[in-house]
This record gives sequence, C-alpha cells and structure tokens, in this order.
Amino acid sequence: MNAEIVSLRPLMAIVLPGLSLLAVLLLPGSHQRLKGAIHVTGSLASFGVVLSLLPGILGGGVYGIELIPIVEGISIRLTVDTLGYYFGLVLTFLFVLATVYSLGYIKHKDDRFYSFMALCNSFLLGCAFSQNMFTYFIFYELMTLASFPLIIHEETDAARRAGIKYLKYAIPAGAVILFGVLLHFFRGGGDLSLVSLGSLSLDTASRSVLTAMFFAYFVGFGVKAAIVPLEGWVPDAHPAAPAPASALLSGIILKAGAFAIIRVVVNVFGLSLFNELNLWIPVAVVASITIVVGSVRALAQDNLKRRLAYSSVGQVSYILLGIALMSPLGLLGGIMHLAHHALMKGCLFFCSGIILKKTGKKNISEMAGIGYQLPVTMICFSVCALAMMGTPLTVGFISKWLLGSGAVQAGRPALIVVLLISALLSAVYYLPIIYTAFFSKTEGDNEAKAFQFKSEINPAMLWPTLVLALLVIAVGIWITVPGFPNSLVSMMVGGLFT
Amino acid sequence: MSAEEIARNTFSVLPLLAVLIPTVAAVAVVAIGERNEKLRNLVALLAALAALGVVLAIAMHVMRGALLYFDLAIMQVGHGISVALAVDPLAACFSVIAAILWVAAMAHSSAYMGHEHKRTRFFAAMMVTEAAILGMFMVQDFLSLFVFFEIMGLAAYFLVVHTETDKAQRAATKYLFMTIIGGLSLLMGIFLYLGHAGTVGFVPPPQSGFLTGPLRVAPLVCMVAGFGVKAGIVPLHVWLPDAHPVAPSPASALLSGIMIKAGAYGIIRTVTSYFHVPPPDIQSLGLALIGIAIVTAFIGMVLAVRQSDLKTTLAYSSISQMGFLLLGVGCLAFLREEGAIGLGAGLYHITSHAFFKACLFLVAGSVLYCTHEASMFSLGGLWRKMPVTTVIWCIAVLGLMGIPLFNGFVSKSMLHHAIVEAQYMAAGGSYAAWLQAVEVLYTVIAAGTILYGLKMSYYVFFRRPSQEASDRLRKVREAPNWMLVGAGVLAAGVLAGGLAPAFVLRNLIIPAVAMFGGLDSYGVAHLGDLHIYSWYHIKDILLPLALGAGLFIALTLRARSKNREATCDPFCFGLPSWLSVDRWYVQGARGLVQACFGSEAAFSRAREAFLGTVGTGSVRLSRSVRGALTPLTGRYANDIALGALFIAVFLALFLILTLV
Repeated sequence: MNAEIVSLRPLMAIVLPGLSLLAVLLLPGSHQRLKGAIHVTGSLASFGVVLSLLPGILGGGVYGIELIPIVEGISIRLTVDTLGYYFGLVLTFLFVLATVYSLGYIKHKDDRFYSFMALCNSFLLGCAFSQNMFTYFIFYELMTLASFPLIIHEETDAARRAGIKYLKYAIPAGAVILFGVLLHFFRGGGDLSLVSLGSLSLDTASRSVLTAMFFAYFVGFGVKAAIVPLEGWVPDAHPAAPAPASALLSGIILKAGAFAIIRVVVNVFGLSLFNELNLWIPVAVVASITIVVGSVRALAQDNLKRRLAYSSVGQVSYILLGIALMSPLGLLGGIMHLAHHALMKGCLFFCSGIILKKTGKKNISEMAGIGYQLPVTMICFSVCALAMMGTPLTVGFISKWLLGSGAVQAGRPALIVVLLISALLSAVYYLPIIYTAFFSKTEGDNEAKAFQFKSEINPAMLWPTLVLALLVIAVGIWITVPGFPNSLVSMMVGGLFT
Repeated sequence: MSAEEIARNTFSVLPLLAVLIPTVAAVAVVAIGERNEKLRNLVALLAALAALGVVLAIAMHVMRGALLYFDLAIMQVGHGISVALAVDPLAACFSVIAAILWVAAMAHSSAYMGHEHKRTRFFAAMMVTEAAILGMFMVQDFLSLFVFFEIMGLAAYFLVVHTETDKAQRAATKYLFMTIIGGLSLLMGIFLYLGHAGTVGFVPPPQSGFLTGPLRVAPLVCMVAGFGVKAGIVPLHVWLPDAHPVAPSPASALLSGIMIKAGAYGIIRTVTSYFHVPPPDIQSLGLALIGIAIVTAFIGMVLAVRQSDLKTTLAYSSISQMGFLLLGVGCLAFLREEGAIGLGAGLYHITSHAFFKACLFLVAGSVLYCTHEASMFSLGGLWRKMPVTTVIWCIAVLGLMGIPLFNGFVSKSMLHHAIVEAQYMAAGGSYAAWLQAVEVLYTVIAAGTILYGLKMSYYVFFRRPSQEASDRLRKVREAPNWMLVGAGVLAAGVLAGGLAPAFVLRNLIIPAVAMFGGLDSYGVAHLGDLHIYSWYHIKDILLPLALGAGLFIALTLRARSKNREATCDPFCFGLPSWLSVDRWYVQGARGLVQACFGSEAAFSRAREAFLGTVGTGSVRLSRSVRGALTPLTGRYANDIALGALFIAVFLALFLILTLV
C-alpha cells in the first residue's frame, strides 16, 4: 500500500455541506430559492470534492489528515482508503439527489430540515473517512443525533413516537459501541486504527476478550444495520420521516452500521482472526434470520413505506451475509450490495414520496391504477422493484449472482437457499404493487386508461428518481466502469486476498 | 475446447445484430405508437424479416462449422464470466425456427390485433421477446442464457396478460410466479454447476469434488426443473393451459411454437453439458427423463381430448408434444454415445412442432377473429366459408397427427426409432420391461393425438352446424389476407418438413447433432440416410391411426344418435379434483402466504411481549434510581434505564467470558 498522501480534500468534503448552515443563519426567510440553490451547491460541492479523489484512489493512493490529537494513541484523524472512499462516494451522491428532491418535497420548517440534512451529510462522511475507531464513534454518535430531527420532521404524533423509539434504540446502542471501543483500546493493544488488515491478534488479547469485543461492536452497530431482533425502530422511523429522509435512512444511515461491521471484520479483526474465532457463524446465522424475517414481515404490510422499510431490514443483511461468507466473491457481492441497495431503495422511497405528494395515498391497497396517473414514477418504481427481486440487467442481479457464487466459492451452497427465499418473497411483496398500479381495476374504469405524462409532479422530485432508476440499470449492465461500485470494491477485496 | 475448435471461432457482429434489430424495433414501435398504426405494424414486420435475414446469414456460416461470437463485455460477474453472444449449430437451428415463426406471427398480428386494445404495448412486447429469445439461443454459457431467459419470461408476461380480462390476469399471475420460481431453481442449479464445474460454460472441464454422492445430480435436477417450468413438463405445466389460450392468438402461436422450446433448449444444453463427462449414472438419469417425458405426453394427450375450447385443446396438445421432445433427450442420455438418433429426433420434433402448432394457433386465431367463438361445439361448417383457412388447418393438423407426407410423421418415426434403439440397448437388462411399456404408451398417445386432431377438425370445420349456429355464423367470411399469409408460411413449412426430410436433416439437424463431441460419428452420419418413407416406418402409424379414427367415429356416432345437434361434448369425461396438480399448488401457495402472515403476527406478539418484559424491568429499575437522579432524568428515565440495562448485560457477558 502506498504511503498516505496528506491532503485537505477529505476535510473539505466534510465541511462543504456546512454551506447550508451558513445560508440558513445569514439569509432571511424570504430568500427561498437562493437558499435552495445554496443547499444543492453545498452537497454538490462535497460530492465534487469526493469525486476529485477518484483517480488517485483508483491509482492506489490513500489520502489523510490529522485533525485533533486527543491523548497518546487516540486522535481525530481522517483517512480515505478504498473502502471508505467507496462509502463516501455513495453517500455524497445520494445526498445530492436527496437535497434536490427535498426542494420539491419539503414545504414546512425547511431551514431546520436542510440544516440537519447537511449535518448528517458531514457526519456520515466523517464516518466514511475515519482513520480510527474513536473518530468513527464520534461521528457516528453525532450522526445519530443529527438524524433525529429528520425523522420527527413532520411533527405528527406518529413521527414523535417513531423519533423517541429511534433514540431508545440508538442511544443504548451507542453505549454498547463505546464499551466495545473501550475494550478495544484498553484490552486490545491500544491500536484503534482502521487502516491495517487486522490490528488485533490472539497475542494481544484472549479469545474471550476478542469475542466480547466483537459482539459489542456487532450488537451496537447492528442496531443501525437493523439486524433482528434490533430492527424495531426501522419500520416506524421510515414511514414517519419525509420521503427524502426515508431514502437517506434506508440508503445510507442503515449502511453506516453495516459499513462499521465491515470495518470491524476487515480492518480491526482481519479475515483470518475472524475465521479463527468462528465469528462468521453467528454473523451468518443472524444475517440469514434477518433476511428471511425482514422479507416475511414486509409481506404483511399494507403501508407502502413500511413495506419498503422491512424490505430494507432484509436487504441490509445481504451485506452481512457477504462478509460472513469470507470468500472473495462473497465479500465483493456483499460490499457492492451496499451501493446497489442505496440506489434501489433510494429510488423506491423517492417514488413513495411522489405518490404521497401527488395523490395522498400511503397504502398499497389504495393505489389501483396509479401507474396511469404517475407513469414515469411508477415505471421507475417497477424497475427498482424488479431489481430488488434480482432481475438480470439490474444491480440486484449482480448482488445476487456475486453472493451466490461467493457462497459456492466458500463451499457453503446451502446459504444460497436464503438468497433465493428472499428473492421469491420480494417477488411476492413487490409484484402486487406494480400489478395494482398498472393492471388492477379502478372505479370509473370506463374512460379510456391513458398515461397522463403532463400532470406528473415537479421536476425537482422526478429527476432524482429518474437518475437513480437509470443508474440501477446502467450499474447493473456496465458494472466495471471506473467509479462504479465494482471498480472500487474489487480493488479493496483484491487487497485482502493477496 | 481444442485448439482447432478455437481457431474456427470467428468474431462477428451478426449475433449482435440479430438481438439489436428487434430491440431497436421495439423502441421504434413505442415511439410511433398509436399515431400511425400501419407504419408501426410495418416496422415490426420488417424488423422480424430483417432478423430472419440475419439469422439465416448466421446459419449459413455456422452450419459450415464456424462458431460466431460477439462478446458484449457487460456484467462481468467473475473471472472470465460475462454476458457474451456465441452461435453454434444448435443455437442456429433454434434461432432459424424462432425467426421464421416471428415473421409469420407479425404478419398475422397486423390483421388480428385490429380488434384488440393497447396494440402498441403488444407489438413492443413481441419485439422484446424476439430479441430475448434470439439472445437466449445464441449463447455458450449459462449466465448469458439465464439473463436472456429471464428477460424473455418477463416480456412474455405482457403477451399473456394482454387482454386484461380477469381470466387473463389470473393466468398471467400464475405464469409470472411459476416463471420466477422456475428462474430461482435454475439459478440455484447454475450456482451448483459453477461450483461443480468451475465454469458456467456449456463445455465443463472434468468435475471437481464439490458435490459428491447423490448430490452430484443436484445441479442437473435444479436446472431441468427450472427449464421444465417453461417447457411445460408435468407436474410443472399448470400455468401453460391457462396462459397459452388467453394470449392473443399470434402470441399464443409463439408461446406454444417457440417459447416452450426455450425450456427444451435449456434442457438440451444442460444434458449435453453433463454429457461431456458423463457421470456413471447417466443411464438411469436418461431413463428418469424418458419416464417423465412419457408421463407428460400421456397426461397432456388425455387432457387435450376432454377440452371443448379450441385453443385450450391446442395448449394441452403442446404439453403432450413437449413430452415427445423430451423423450428424444431422454433417449440421448440413455443411449449415451449411440444417442445421436435421440437428439436428432428431439430436434426434428422441435422443428415440426414449432411449425404445425404455431400454424394451428394462428388458424385458431383467425377462427376466433372471424366468428368470435372459442368453443369448438358452437362452430361448424366453416370449410364452406373459409376454404383457404381450412386447407391451411388441414395441413397443420395432419402434421400434428403424424400422417405421412407431413412433418410430424418424420419426427415421430425418428422418435419411435430412438425408443426401439433404447430397447435394443436395454435388451435383457432390468430396464427392458420399462421400455416396452414406454413403447406401448407411445402408441396410445399417438392414437390419442389423432383422436383430438380429428375432433377439432370435425367440429370446427367439417360438421354440419346446428340451425342456431348457422344463423349465428351466416356473416362469416374468409380471414383477412395478412392472416392467411402468416399461417400459410407456416403450413408451407409443415409440408417442407414432411416432403424433404433429408434436406432438413442435412442442413439443420445433423450439424447441430454433430457438434457434440461425445456422440458416435457413425450414428450421426447414419441420421442422414434414414429411410423415413419406408414400410418399416409407415406401418407404425397404421395402428394408432386405426385406433384413433375408430374411437373418434364411435364416439361421434354415439353422440349423434343421442343428440343430433351435438352441442355438448361427447368426449368430455370427469376427473376427480384431487388429481389436479394446479389445485395443490394454489392451496400450497395460499397456505404459505397465510403462514407468512401468521408468523408475522406471532413475531409481533413475541416482540411486544419481550419488549414489555424489558420495559417493565427497566421501569422498576428506573423507579429505584429515579429518587436519586430526579433532577437529571425527568421524562427520559425509562430510556436511560434501558441503556443501563444494555450496558449491564454486556458487562455481565464480558465478566463471564473473561472468567471462563
């Protein structure tokens, strides 16, 4: 690995979304359009800075900068390696789209919403670029708090309850993670860094300490990654939050938990120690249970966003399953699924938001014939729903194929059955939505059904949705284009197995 | 692949063109839309013709022994695994049939679709399906095959659901779910194959020890089941008799004519890939396939006889005929290196069935279009009103019945030949009795086919209609020209296949059979000089003909003596409902979904109970702590207590683990 290049750019990327805060503080309430433009510029600038690192990262470079040393061995420090860069790229991209989408969606108390969205953007980017577990923990906790106002934004009773529930899960989880970090620092040799491939070894700590440390991390981060039985906040928070926030919750914030678990397995423990302690078994079991339970529970929901939320519960565990397989293709598939799922689920939540804004409908059973009212939206929805089922020519198929062949590579073909059950169940709960939208009979059906392209909702909401749907297809076909998930993840996974 | 084989491979854009032309046409069709219907239909027809031209050009190259390939370089999901097009003789054979059928169906649709709605969607779906099916044939690995196979399955949903009646929607939903489940089974099989052979190519290197013992056949079973759903193998056929009749007739022609052959194509690819390094139990696998095949053929025939709806009869007939085709593949596996005749017979039957069944569906469509009657018992005497249509029907139905001079006779004679060879091989062994039974059943099925062939022709075209029916049918005229052209092309194919078997064998079948390395070259060459029109083969048709025709006359006469108008079905017989596999599936699926809902409810309750306990515990804990911390805690006491509980649990866990 090349030496770390000292660069301000990671810090710039983290600070730039703060433009929104400046705009909110300095501009009076009347400059709505100008403020909107600044919000988009802030997120776009952050994305642009991250994108500018791409050639260097693809060339094998690592960027970093030390911010604040705390005590000997602990500091707030940023490093952009391939894995962190990958997560950062995905999240800044989705934040740009969500900001644009919010321009059309958020109509009340928008200053508060954009400020906290910008904070979430910064803190999540801080997570992605953390050089050590301490930095990660700090940013992770800040992000937890900053995402709370996004969930309760609507300020309905349901939203408040969902927000409190979110904190009830997230704060104890933070405590458990802190316990893990303390254990890591005091009993694990004092090296909290996330840059090596396994800083722990059986020489530095006993098996039981290592196991306890792993479980503390797994359970603590598992709350965000929505592993069963810690997923209880997910199905409440998603429907309560406004659509762009739900898209970010499912697309990115859930992934921050999964990303941390990837870091723990790959960079803290290292694959060989992970294997030696047989830790893959509980991860595989929990992931399999979560995948099946998430899908089964999604089936029983009539509220569209609740169904999507349960679907996320199942899908995020694909990532964990990929890690538990520990084979090159399995890891590749699991980690690539992080981006794939962000694209698909982001688009699906955007669509649900358009449906809500345009027709006021939340429940699937009310959506008969909606495909003719909102053709572009529902076509995007259908593309992503098919992708969730793993249909070829979409990103979903790539994930499914890589995980499946990863399971074969790891010599555990039985785990493929979990994937296939999940694919079948997602067909059972996604296809009826498409069917209801396009084929089911509505009252007053006698007038000729015609697509009403003109009446579709404003472009600020439609374009981000369309971009995601197109990417779901493009990334699923031309998967090796530089900058697409495969190029980064295969580089990172390749580094693990040489 | 040996070095000389690799040297014969040629890079060519032709396969890409074959897939691209219909795709572009689909986009053009959508772009033109309802604004200019004539132009839109013409674009679709011209695209089908252009695709046929390209496919024929490919076939000319390929049949001479070159393998054309075009690496799309997309979806590289592993080392050396990506989606690529490549055409070998077998692929070319299937593609030619598909392209011809599409031309006929597009010609027929331009007239037929006149009285349907959402025509643009239909034409676009037809074009996408053509692109997918041509792509699916022109591959050399299971990943590419799977990708195109799934796209084809999804695109065909729009063909099945087209009319959007309740019946069509139910049929289409069933079709879709069976397609998805089949696709998943196939994918599982492909993963296992990948683990087993280390590649997804059709020509695997020697096998690894990935799967051992009886599990070795697991990939084969999963893949055959996955393809079998499309191919309509009993008991995976239940979607077929619902879906094929509800689609608009040109689409039914394609569904029955070539789409189910896509399943057969997959099965042939699977079996021949295994064939390369045959597992020791290939013979019993072959026998199992023969068994499934003959059961499929028999059940399809029995159910076809009892239908009164013309298109449903044809759909069941397709199931039955697919059994025949699979019989050929089974004989291939059973006969091992002597199996050329089995594969040849199967391939010839694919050609035959594609032409006559597509033609029959198109004619059924013309009848439906002109009379608006689907049941054959409300029809009659159409030969006077639709003479050209009647001639075309007769040609096709004689092909179906396996009468000499028509293509069905050739393929059925070859199949019979294959069964006899299998008997030779098994003579004296433990399988001999089984194969005797297969031959007897084969004769019975041939007789049944003749029976329902005669039944359809008689009731629709030749019988004197009842007074009521003749009033109703007074205004019926000959079908529009485009329909006659479409069906006529296929009827000509039926005749060509029957009159010039040697030509078809030499140019289409033998190159496809010869490319499989594991087969005895003498047997392959011998295929070319089979004397189809010899007494040896013709005598085999006499018994079924006598049986079928005799039974038909007896039943019809009995019905007429009872009821001169014969408006009810003398052939219909009741079957107990527990025999219906469909019912089991529907109940099974319902049960499963209910179980999901039930477990969801149970899960919610368990969760509430668990959280309730934790909640009460934390409330108690918090009450005791509250006294000391009142100013700090306030209303979030419970939550802080819950956090404390979490930490306490982990501290306890940690202590236990460190002490142990």
